[in-house]
Amino acid sequence: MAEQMEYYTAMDLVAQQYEDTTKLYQFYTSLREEHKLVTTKCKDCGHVPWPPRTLCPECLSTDYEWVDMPSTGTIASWTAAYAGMPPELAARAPMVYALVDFENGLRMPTAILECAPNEAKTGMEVELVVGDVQPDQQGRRRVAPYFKPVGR
Amino acid sequence: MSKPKRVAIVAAGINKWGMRPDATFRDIISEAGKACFDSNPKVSNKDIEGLVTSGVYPQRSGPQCHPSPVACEVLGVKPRLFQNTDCQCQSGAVNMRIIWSAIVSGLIDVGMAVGWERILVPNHGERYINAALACDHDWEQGFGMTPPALFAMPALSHMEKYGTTEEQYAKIAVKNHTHSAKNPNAHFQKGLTLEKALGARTVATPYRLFDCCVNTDGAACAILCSEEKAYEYTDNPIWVMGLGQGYTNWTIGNNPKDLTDWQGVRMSGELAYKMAGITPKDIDIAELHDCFTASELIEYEELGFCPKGEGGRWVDDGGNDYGGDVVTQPRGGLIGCGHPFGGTSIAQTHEIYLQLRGEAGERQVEPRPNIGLAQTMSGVGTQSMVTIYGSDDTQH
Ligand SMILES: [Zn+2]
Repeated sequence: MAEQMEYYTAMDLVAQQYEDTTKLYQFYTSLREEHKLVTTKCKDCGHVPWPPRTLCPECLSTDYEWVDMPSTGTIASWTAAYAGMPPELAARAPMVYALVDFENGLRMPTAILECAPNEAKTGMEVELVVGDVQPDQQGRRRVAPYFKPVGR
Repeated sequence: MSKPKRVAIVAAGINKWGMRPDATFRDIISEAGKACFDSNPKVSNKDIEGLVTSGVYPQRSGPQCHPSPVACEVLGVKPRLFQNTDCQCQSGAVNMRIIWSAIVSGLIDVGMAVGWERILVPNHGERYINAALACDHDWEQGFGMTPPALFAMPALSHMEKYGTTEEQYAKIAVKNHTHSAKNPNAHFQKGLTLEKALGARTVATPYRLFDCCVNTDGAACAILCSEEKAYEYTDNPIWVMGLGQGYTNWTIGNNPKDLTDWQGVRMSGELAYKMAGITPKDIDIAELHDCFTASELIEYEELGFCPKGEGGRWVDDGGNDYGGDVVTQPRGGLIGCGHPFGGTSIAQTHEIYLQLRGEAGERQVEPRPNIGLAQTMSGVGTQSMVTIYGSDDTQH
């Protein structure tokens, strides 16, 4: 691969996170700078989706505001993955992945950090932890919303 | 909806699937295309009016964009309708539905579906990217979860809700490997014991190695034609009786809250049964999307082969095998044959074509089946396509 890539997002598996690359940059700003999980709320019909949206799938409004998501949730189902993960995470196997349910009715897929496979359980309470992922092509920090067992 | 015109399969072929570093995209479709034309010498490449390719990763593994005219040139076809289609693992079924629609609408009388994948690059990073691309770019790929982990979660939920066991999952892998041992085109032909399956390394709990299908290089082709042409080509056409596609959502966070509730699969089955005018009891054989063992088990339930929650018991009773209620995966499924994304659905069709004609050799289901169901799925139960085929006997 040439070092200078004009189309610098090609084969970049991590979401773009800054104002010049995504309309939803506020999600990442909140996560990165305030350690806060947020999503969008439609100002016209009140719909709160996960993931956040610039276009309301219920009423097609483009008028939205940012609202806080709960910072804790419970594991709806989980797995301990020993393979099938990116090369940079393979050394950290097994990784626990889960679907986390929030009290507002939303659910998201995520990784559960600081959790051994024999500790993971359906119904377990987990809390938000901000994880660093690969920087973007301009060298800017990028983050992901991960979780860990509450109180760890 | 008024009854659409009838469409028949009159030829089908497949090549040798597996690790194929010896073969390029052109080589792979040459082999399967030749096998397809050889299966019925009455059909000439000059007869093909429409050609649709289905491949999911040509722009990654090749790389090659716009593959349909490449396939036309390789196979000597000069069509007036051609395109590629990507619907992930449903691609082959969607490919054949495009041809079916073109025939029903009268645009063409004879069309060929060419499905393939050439993907098995022996490099961890490349394989990971291919797997991750099946997930949402902005909200899933970056988290590191790939299909084994995504499909493991409903497997655990089914165990917790219905008491299904890892042994019942493993029995599905043993069945499929046993079937593929009699399929010379399959990736795996050595069979499998329950002990070996349960002793294999863990991939993503509760899945061990043999609970998972593998990516494979391979291709499959089928030729579809109008009812006016069908008997010119063969005395024994196989008919498309029903088609159905289901969709509930895309990102996994928006799946039905009960992870074992695969509404997308259920919808695809209900639509296809309705169009075919039959019920699940009429199905003799089924080729299902066993990307993982729990997928196949949940599909038994959603397609109505057994009641919801009783997939494990149906496995223990042998309802899913030769001599049972529905012979599932007679060719060996994705687990035994491998999974070249764009080719899988067409290979399922090839198997049903052989079985309904009584030409499946060592793995022929007896008595010769009359109705076969093929199902492929993208997403964890949320997007699925079912096609039901009938022997010529079902039409008289
Ligand atoms: Zn709205």
